[in-house]
Amino acid sequence: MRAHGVVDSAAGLRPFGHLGWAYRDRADFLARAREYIIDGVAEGQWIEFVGDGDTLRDELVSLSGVPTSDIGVATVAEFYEFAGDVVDPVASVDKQVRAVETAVDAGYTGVRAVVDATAAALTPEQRAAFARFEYLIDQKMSSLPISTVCGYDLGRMDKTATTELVCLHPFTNPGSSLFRIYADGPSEFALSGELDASCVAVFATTLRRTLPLSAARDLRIDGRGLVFIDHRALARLDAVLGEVGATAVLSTSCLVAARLSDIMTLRNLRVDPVGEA
Amino acid sequence: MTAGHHHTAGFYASDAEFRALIVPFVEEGTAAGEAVVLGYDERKSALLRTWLSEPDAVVFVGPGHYSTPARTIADYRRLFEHHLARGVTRIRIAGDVPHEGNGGRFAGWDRYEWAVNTVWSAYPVLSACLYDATLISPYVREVVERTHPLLLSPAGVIEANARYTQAHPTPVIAADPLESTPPLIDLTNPSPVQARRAVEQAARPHLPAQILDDLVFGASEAATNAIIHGRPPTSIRIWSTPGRVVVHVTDTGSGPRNPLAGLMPVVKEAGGLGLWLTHQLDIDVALITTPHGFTIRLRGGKLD
Repeated sequence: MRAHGVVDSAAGLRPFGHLGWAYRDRADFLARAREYIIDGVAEGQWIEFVGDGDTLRDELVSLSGVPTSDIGVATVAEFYEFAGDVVDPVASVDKQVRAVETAVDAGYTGVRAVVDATAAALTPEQRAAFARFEYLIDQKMSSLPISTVCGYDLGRMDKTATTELVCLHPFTNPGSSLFRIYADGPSEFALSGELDASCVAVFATTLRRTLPLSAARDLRIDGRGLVFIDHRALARLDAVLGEVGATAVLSTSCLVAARLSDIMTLRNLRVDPVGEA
Repeated sequence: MTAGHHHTAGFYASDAEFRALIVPFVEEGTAAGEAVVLGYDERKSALLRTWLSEPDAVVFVGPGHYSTPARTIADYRRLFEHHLARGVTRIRIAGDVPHEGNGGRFAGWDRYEWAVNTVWSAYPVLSACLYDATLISPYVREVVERTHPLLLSPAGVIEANARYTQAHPTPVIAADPLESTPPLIDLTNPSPVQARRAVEQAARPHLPAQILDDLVFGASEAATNAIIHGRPPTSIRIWSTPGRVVVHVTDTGSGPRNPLAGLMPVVKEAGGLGLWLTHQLDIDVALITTPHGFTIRLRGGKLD
């Protein structure tokens, strides 16, 4: 089972850990950047520092204990592949996979990036494309030596908008998303955390963006990390599965989920109870 | 007799009187090709198998069919749909509603006896709720007489019940002894997340995992509905003792307007499905309305 959870620091995610971080205070994000970079340097990884604006280099220099050489600095526009105003999810993933190959060929143990992705996720269209990128790159991150801390600025995006993207990380910061969707083993995706009325709309939006990316029509969803899921979320999952012509088995230790699904007579979703993770 | 639910009560004081009421009721049905469903305990089911000329023509569902009012309504609806899909023109049902005299608890069944007049009205059902008059309390008798439009006389004749009223009975909800003690947890305006955490904290040492999960779901749903449909301030109070946990989720509003709330999946009203699902789980649910507000009381574990 892949490590996941809510963390209040970016330190210790070694050798890799894909972290979504919604922030209001830039200093808070830079503190996390410093922690993440220091761990990456210790692991022998190639580091990228990515954002927008003219102060990226200055910000990097301001991080105490962080070397200023052997760290790439790039804008969001340089770091990802774009199709117009939105990222091209597949091309951007390919680009990052190539970056891993280049780094390993150069003697590094992998790639670790600190990215403020806000500039690529300001509009609904941008977020839809970036959500697909996050979903696809996390699948690569579950097996390749690459990881990222992805920052989203709550001063430029509202809470719903940041949650739409933070939820696509195995690690998140407190209060940023109740639930998490990420790659894990042979399942189509893992689902962890809590799903209730407060986040069911974001959950449905995320499913509509990511489920069509799955080639399989009979999906396995690893819900061993689910602490709570209510009938609304089960119904939305069932409905979106129907929209994309898929069925799924959700394995979870949240015992009430299986009982609710039986009572609700869902069409596309079966819930299998499993032992606690 | 016209289509629709014909809700009939009868009283007996001995096995012989019970036999005189139930056997003609069942055998008229089987003779007419109707489906007959009986929900009695082992002793009465065994007696019925010896009394009935064609016991194999009857479906015995056992006393477990009367687990909780909301579940029983849902189970019977599924049975009705099943039989109607097979071409049956009418279904007769009879069974023992739980009450203190037969080893059960009548709490909640007062609402059931009233509600089934409405919720089964779309089905061609003839029901006979036969009560042992020597075992029921005056309150149970009062409820039965007020909620059944028809009476089955000792001579086996179905007659109009002069005491029947359409008015919703005021449920009698006995206090739990724990409620007279200070609660272990008392939170004001809890979010659903906080409500779930609080129940987890208080109940995990005292309840099996499945009951704990049921209670967490019920508390989360109640806290959600209190915020969305109730009136602030809201609160959650939790009492626990080994083997039993009591949860009150309260707001200062007047509670659900629909008298069938919790007994039917009222999907058109927001929150209605969650309240109904809560009633389907293995926890005791009571809706308590007072001049000061509305409380959903949830209890998990042993109630005695």
